Amino acid sequence: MKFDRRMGTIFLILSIVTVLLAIYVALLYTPEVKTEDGWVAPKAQKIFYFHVPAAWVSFVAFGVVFLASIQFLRVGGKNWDTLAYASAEIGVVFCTLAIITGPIWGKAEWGQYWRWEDTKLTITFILWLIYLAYLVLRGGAESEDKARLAAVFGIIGFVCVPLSFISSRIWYSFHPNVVASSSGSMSAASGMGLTMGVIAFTFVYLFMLQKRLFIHELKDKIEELKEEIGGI
Amino acid sequence: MMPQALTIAKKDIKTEFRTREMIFSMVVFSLLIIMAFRFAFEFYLAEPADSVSEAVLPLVSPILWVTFCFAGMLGLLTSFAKEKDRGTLDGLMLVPMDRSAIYFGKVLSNFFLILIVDIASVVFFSLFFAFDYNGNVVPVFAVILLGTFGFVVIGTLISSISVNARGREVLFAILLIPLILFTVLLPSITATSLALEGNIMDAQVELRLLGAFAAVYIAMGYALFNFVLEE
Repeated sequence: MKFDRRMGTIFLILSIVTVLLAIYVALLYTPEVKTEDGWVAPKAQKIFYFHVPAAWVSFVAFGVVFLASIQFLRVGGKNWDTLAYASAEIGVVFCTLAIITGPIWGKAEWGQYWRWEDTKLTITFILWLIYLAYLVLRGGAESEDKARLAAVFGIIGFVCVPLSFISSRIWYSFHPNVVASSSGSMSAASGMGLTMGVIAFTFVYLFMLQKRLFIHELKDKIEELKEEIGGI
Repeated sequence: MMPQALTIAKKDIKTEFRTREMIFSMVVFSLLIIMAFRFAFEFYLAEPADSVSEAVLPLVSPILWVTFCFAGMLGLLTSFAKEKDRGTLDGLMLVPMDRSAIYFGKVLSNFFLILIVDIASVVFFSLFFAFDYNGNVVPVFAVILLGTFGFVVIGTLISSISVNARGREVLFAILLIPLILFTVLLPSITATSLALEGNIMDAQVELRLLGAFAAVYIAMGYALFNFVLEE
């Protein structure tokens, strides 16, 4: 995937439109979540409509890292490596957003900032750690050799996430420490709020990806020019 | 491929036992970690309990596994670092064999050496914490074997990656720890705790998990090691 100026502009416009729509739908259109016994979710529940899409987009971004790493190892070519790197960077941003918004919502809804027994939380945290490690590895890599190492780690990291998920799921099923979950059933409007959020964040991701690829392209051009004039 | 892997493993173990420097530093490091834990828990253990062993029981498994992992990381990284710095890795790559044999050979030699450190740590622990294993040594040892194998398999692959990059030691820890937290450490610690209570049969799920993850890691190592070593 290479940078395409036209696609970049399209994604920018789509992002702005869908994000505004998503904000409207999430904050104003969706009803308050109520359960049968009359419990009403606090207003902070609306964070859900941004928290879940952020986590979802970060998973997609890391999936892209995985696939791009495989392609880079199989067929080579700088573009795949750049795609993996850019996607990892943006994925970490979205994952960080998810990890920050999650506890804010959690405190309002459960009274706790974090629940280690909730496998989703631990998995997102592990994913975040793995891809931070990927960035540390890739960031220190100038040559194609080191890009290859990062690609290998991208594959290993992605495989370890479902493994960790299985492991923690099994562990917590054997050692339950259940705190009553308070998510009610989703009404159609809530579902739409979520979908809008996912669409909006996906366009933001695609736009940021285009921009990041553009910056990498510029960097490569600068390196080429430097070599031509005999600089460092 | 296996005969070549065994030859490489034997070579590594022989060279290590000539100087014994790495195994010695790993054992001393594990001793220091256990000492650090002992003093860290001084306040907790100062309270009189029904029996010392009982007060210590919940601590055994976590402390042992953290010690295994950190002392083990020292050895894992050194094994590749030595080869790369002295250029012997290039020599190994020149041999007309499947390069995964290097990986398997390293796994075997690292496994053997880290097992020595594990046994030493277990002994140190019972010394420093005055803990009696009560005849549960065999199940505990079985769990340690399985868990260490999983750890070494993924650790060898990650160490081969980090040895080629800048800031080896820190990078190795940063790369390895998120990968092993849930896949190796959690099941191992749980299974060891159960084994210490004499209930190793309850740990079947954890042991199967460890076995499954070790298998997945070996497959990944076999598939990806060639790419790590490419020039």
